[in-house]
Amino acid sequence: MDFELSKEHQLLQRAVREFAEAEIVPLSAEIEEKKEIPRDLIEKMAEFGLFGVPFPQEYGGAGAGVMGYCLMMEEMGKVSASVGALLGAHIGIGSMAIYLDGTEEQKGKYLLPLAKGEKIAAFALTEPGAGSDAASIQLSAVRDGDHFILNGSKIWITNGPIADVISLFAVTDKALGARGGVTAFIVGKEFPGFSIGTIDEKMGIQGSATGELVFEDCRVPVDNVLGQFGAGFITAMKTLDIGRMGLGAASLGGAEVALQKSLEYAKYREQFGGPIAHKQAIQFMVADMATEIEALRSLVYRTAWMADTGQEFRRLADMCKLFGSEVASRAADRAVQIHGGMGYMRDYFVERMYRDARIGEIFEGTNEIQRIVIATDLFRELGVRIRP
Amino acid sequence: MKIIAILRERFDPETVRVSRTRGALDTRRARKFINPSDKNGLEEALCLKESPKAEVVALSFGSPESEDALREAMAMGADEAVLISGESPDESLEALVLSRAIGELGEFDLVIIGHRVAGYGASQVGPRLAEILGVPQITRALEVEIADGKARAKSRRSDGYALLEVPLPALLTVDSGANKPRYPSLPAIISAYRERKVTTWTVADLGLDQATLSERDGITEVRETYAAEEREKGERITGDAAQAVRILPERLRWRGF
Repeated sequence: MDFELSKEHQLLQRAVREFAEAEIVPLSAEIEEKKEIPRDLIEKMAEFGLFGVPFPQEYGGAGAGVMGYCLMMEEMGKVSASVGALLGAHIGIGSMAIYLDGTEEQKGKYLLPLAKGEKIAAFALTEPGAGSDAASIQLSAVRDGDHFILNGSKIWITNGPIADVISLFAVTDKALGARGGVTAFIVGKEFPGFSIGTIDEKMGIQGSATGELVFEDCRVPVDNVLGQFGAGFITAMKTLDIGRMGLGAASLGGAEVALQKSLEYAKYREQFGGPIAHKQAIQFMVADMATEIEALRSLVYRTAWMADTGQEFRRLADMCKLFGSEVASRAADRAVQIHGGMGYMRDYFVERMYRDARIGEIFEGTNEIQRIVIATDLFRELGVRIRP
Repeated sequence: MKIIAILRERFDPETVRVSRTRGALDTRRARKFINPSDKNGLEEALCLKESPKAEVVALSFGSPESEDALREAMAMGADEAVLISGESPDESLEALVLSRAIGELGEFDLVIIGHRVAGYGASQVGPRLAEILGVPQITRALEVEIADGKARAKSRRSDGYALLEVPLPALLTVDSGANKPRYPSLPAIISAYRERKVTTWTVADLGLDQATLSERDGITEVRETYAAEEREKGERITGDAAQAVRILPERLRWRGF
């Protein structure tokens, strides 16, 4: 058993950390204020290789695997949840669907520019009438010669308003539902009949662009069917497995920085004649934060290692997302408490962290859904089939 | 044009503890890094490489761990990497070993090395190496230009700069902070480990003997090590003036003002 990161992952981690400190930290407040990630930062990130971390170099990536992806997301979670959301949606789900199930032609045409950061990806599953109940999506795709005609809308899509390429899930046979009736498509923003609807105002991750995608007789070439016709639900689920691991990693970074800020504050803040670090109430909180962080780190790194070594990791990926988002939320909550009045102030980092952390428990499958999926998997081993 | 950039892997002084009682260095939890000024030297070499067609060789003398410094150098853009594995008891011997390795590498135009070593703050290897190689040197070089077989650079002095010109081959030493070293791109990091090779020599390959090197008295000697007085790290408040002004009083209050 070896708990050391490989040498290349150690250097990758340090390089990402240095890049994040130098290039992202100075802009992180501005990103939230302007609700936008500056174009020249995106270009620097692309040149550095952030947009294709896990993908093989032949597809324009860094070739750093899922472990590299998780290490990168951990660092992003420390500095900017909005940049983390951009990269998570772009790599972990939007591009990942194409990497996992795309043909060589599709990878050459779409994954290559995505992995190089020349284009931005989104992953569109959620609809007004279908979120946790993903199988009941309504957006329809009807064949017309060598095209499919898409009608319907997707909501709350991370990167939706800025995406060039969308991995989209549509109903191709209503009667079959999730079992054969959903097909994945690759949609370019330039396709006729595609438009961006409402752009959402959110509680946190305000620098990340989220919005509605509208399809009105949108024509998508047959060549852009992603994976097997009718097997879109399977594509969606296995893509989300990677995405959830990345969320767990970003949560890890967020929790780490919440602890760091709390320790620093407790060292300086004096009450009753000494630093509050000497108060047991504070000590218990930081000890719990640190313990949960180490447990989460072990879970995330091990799950990434299992994914990279070709082992079954689905249940663990769900746990990364579930445990990670709750550890991050608890850490952010404690950080606010330790900072007291300071923690509630708009201009201070922990206030933002508290708002940013909340989405982790919701997107890419709510934590309630994660618990159901984990339990269903546990009972399946006993021959019990849980009904939704 | 061939440029040799020398990299020394050292403990990051911020991670080294100094025992208050014995004055000894505790490196058990210390992290190693490329000596910062050497990294600036490498950056200078890589910048010069961009103008005329040139080759940059990264050269390191140290423990097998120095290989990581060389991999990082390749990820940043060095064409070749050579590691001489061994230990040097002092800077005069370190310069001797490096001069032998440079001899093995054949003709060169420039050797670039960091001016100071992090930690001890010693800065003898560069000047000693230039003497052994018999080439002119510009210490603490800035704004280096190569033209017509000559190197021109500003040389930093305590009271300003001297503009110097030397014929090639020559040696330059570079201050830390003289430039902003580039980030190695992530694909380049992975390739540096998976596809690139580090040539490894021992001191014996250079006609030297590690045992004699260790026994032979260096001409420098460490008399004492002591802990500098600890100073609290400053904090930079970022954001616009209005924001900073709002945060500032709170920070001052924390610190008991």
